[in-house]
Amino acid sequence: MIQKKVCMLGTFAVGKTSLVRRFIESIYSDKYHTTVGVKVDKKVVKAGETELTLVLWDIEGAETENDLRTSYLRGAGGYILVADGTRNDTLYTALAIQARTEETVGKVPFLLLLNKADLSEQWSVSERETDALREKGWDVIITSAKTGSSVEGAFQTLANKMVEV
Amino acid sequence: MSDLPSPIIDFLLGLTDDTLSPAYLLVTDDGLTQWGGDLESYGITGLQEHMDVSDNIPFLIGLLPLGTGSVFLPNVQTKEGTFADVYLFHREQGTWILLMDATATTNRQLNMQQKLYDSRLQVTDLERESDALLKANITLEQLVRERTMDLYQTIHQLQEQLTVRERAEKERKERRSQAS
Repeated sequence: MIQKKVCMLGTFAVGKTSLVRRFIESIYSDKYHTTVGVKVDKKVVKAGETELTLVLWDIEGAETENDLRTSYLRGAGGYILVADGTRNDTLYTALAIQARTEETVGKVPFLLLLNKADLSEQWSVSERETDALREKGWDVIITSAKTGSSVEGAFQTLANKMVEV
Repeated sequence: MSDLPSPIIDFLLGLTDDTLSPAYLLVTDDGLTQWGGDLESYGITGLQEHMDVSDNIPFLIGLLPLGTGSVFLPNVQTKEGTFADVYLFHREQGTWILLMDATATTNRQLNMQQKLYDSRLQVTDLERESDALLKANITLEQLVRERTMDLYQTIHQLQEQLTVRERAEKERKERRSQAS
């Protein structure tokens, strides 16, 4: 079976761990638990006719691109950038992390998830900003680890992209 | 360490063994060749010669073959509640993978980081509430200005009406006095 390493990247408290928990175990906790280092989980998905094991590296939040420990990225077949849609600055950290990641692992498939869609009244990322990224060819998906909205679909989208490569 | 006296070297090795639970694997082109140390404490079991280690150790997927050079992966959770500092380095025998327990340092870091990020999130919440209050205050001030303007206009209209009525009353009184 094909196995692909996928790194979860973004600054702190954007919901990386919650997205992985939602995807792997279909659970969610409102309490914020910070991550130190990395936690590795696996899940088998189907991409078309291909069975694929996603090996998810839930990596500690990086406050800036320079805080990103690039040794964790080694061997990544894809990555998921996560930003908090209610904290606009987290989007710009994600953009900087993307540039650093591409320098390290090259052009591999990735997605940008704008998480916390359930907090729509606090949403601070504008459509103009997301449209600009989509125009650059980025896959931008609005998710909620809390409700599960678009979470499964996001991981599936990345799996499909990795199989196509 | 070569210039250290042997008792010190022995002590350091003993200390490492006691406190860091070192464990190792050696991987070559033929797969897993050697392993040892306290692998079980990291949740690593069921190893067999020539197996693909990434079948049993998911965090090695994508890392092997290593090629030349070395990789350091700090604070890797190897099982629930256990963290290891993982070193991969190439020597003539193949790729060595060394695990050393990092649970205590990771937990200390977790506690500090949790407090730091909790307080940062509280600051963000306070800033958000402050912004909302500021916007609400601006809206209120605008409403007060509009109401004050309405009030001035109403007072002005009332004063005009009062003047008209007073004038009419005066004229009525003058007409009445002339008539009498």
